[in-house]
Amino acid sequence: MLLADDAVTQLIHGIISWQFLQFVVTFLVIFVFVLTGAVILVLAERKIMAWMQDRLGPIYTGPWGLLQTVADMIKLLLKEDIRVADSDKLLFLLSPSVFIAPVIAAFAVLPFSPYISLPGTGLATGIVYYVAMSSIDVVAVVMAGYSSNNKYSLIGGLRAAAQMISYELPLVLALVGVVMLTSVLAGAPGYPGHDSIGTISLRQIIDFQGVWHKTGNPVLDFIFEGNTPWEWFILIQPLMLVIYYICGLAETNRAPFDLPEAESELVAGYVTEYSGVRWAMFYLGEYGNMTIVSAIATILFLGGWSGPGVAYLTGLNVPVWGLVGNLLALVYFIVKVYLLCAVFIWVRATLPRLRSDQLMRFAWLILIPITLGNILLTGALFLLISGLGLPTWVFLTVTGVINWAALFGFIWVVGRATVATTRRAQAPAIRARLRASTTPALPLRDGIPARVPELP
Amino acid sequence: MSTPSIGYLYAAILLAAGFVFVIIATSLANLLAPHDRTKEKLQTYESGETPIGSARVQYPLGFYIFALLFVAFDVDIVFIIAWAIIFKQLSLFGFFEIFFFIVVLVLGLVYAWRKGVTRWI
Repeated sequence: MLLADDAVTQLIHGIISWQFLQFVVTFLVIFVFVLTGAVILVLAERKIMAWMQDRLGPIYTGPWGLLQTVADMIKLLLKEDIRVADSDKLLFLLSPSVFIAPVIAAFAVLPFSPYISLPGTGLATGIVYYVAMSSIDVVAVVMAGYSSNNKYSLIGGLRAAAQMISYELPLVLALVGVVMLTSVLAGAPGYPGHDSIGTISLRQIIDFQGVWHKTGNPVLDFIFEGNTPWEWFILIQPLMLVIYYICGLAETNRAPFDLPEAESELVAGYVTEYSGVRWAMFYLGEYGNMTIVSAIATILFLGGWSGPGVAYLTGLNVPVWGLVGNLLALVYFIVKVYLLCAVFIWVRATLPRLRSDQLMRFAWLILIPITLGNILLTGALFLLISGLGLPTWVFLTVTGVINWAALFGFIWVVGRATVATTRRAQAPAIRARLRASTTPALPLRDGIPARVPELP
Repeated sequence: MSTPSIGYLYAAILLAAGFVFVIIATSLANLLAPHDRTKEKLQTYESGETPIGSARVQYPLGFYIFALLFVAFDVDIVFIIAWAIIFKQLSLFGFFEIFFFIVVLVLGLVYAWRKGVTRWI
C-alpha cells in the first residue's frame, strides 16, 4: 500500500515538472525519428543502391524522386488488409505490434543530445536494457511465422529466430570490452564516475569519450570541449565495432544475413502473408532496428552526439545557446547515425548472401570465441600493465595496437573460412566433374553417341 | 524525482505508445482501404500453387539446441557484464574467476561443436 502511494505521488510530481517536459520532447523526437527514419532510409537505400548499380532509381515522384516513399506510404495505407484463411487470428494481428513496440521502447535508452534523453541520467542499465528490448523481436518473428499458416512463413520465422538468438551473443559480448574500458578509466582525472566503477549507461559512456581539460583558449575550448575524437573507443576496440556491426546486420535480418527473407527460396519469409499497413509495420520495425544498431554503435564507439561546440555552448548556462548546442548535438548525432546506416546499404549492395551452412558456424565458431578472447585479453593486458606499474595510457595504446592488428587477422580468418566452407560445399560437384573427365569420350556415330554410357 | 525507477515508467510509456501506434495505423487503414474478400485472395500464398495441407505440420526443429546454448550463454553474459563494470576493482581475483567461468563455457561450446550441433544442415 505504501509502495503504491509512493508510486502515485511520484507520478503526480512527475507530471507537473520540467522533467516531464523533457520527457515529452524526447518522446516526440523518438517518434519523429522512427517514422521519418524509415521514410528517409527506404529512399536512401533505393537511391544509393541505384547509384552503386549504375541505375537511376526512383525519379518521377517529386523532385529527383524524393517523394517516392511518401507515395509508397499512402499506397500502403490504401491497400486491403488481408488476413489469410486458417491463420491464427490473435497471433497474426498481434505480431506487428510485438515487433514494433520494443523497437520504439529501445529508443528510450538513446541520448539524442545533452537535453533530449530520458530525464535524470537516462536509463542506468543502458546496454542491458537495449539488448533485452531488441531480443523481444524474436518472439514477434516466430509469432508471425507460425500464425500465417504458410510453410514458407514457418521456415522463415524459425530461421530468423535461430539466427537472431545466435548473433545476439557476440553482439553483447562485443560491447563488454567498452564497459571494461570505462571501468579502467573511471575516476581518472577529468573522467566521470567513482574510482574504478565502470558504467553501462549510454549517457555516461559518451562522457567517457569526451574528456577535455579546459585550456582557457576560447577557440580550442569551443572545438574540443566534449569532442575529442582521439578518445573515441573505436581507436581502442575497432575489431569489436566491426563484430558488433556484423551482428547488427544479422539481428536486423539484412543482407548478407537475409536468409529468413531469402526471396528466391522462401518468398518473403515470415512476412509473406502480411499486406498493406501490417506489412509496413514490419518494415518500419526493421528500419527502426537498423537505426538503433547504428545509434548504439555511434554512442559506444564514435562519441555519440559529440562535435564542435556542443559541450561549450550547453556549458554556458544561457538558454538560447543551450538550445543551439542541443540542436547542434542532434545534428551531429543524426549525421553519424545515417552515415552508419549508409554502410548497411553499402554492405547490401556489395556482398552476396551467406549460405545457410556458413551462417551458424560464423556466429558460434568465429564470432563468439573472438569476442570472449577479447574480453580475456583486455583483462589480462590491464592486469599485466598495471602490475608493472605503467600508466593507463600505455594499456590503452597496447590494447589499441593489438586490436587493430586483430582486425586484419579477423578479415584474413573470415576469408579463409569462406574459402574452406565453399570448398567443402562444392566437393561433391568437383569430384563428380573429375570422375566425368577421366572417363574417355564416347565414340560418335552419325554425330550421336554410339551407345548409352554406363553410370559411374 | 531522481529515483531511477521513473526512467522505466517513461520506457513503459514508450512501449505502450508503440502498441497504440499500430492500433491507430491499422484502424486508419481500415477506414481507407477497400474490403473485398474473395476465396482466392484469402488463400495461402505459395507462389501460385494451390497449397496442399496445413502448414502446421511436424517440422524437424533442429534449431532448438541453439536455443538451449543461447540460454546458457545469455546468463553467462549477464555475469560477465556485472564483472566488467567493476573489473578494475576486483583485479586479479575477479579476473581468474571470470577466466575459469569462460573456460568452462567454452568447453561446453567445443563439446557442442564436436557433436555437430553447429552444423545446421
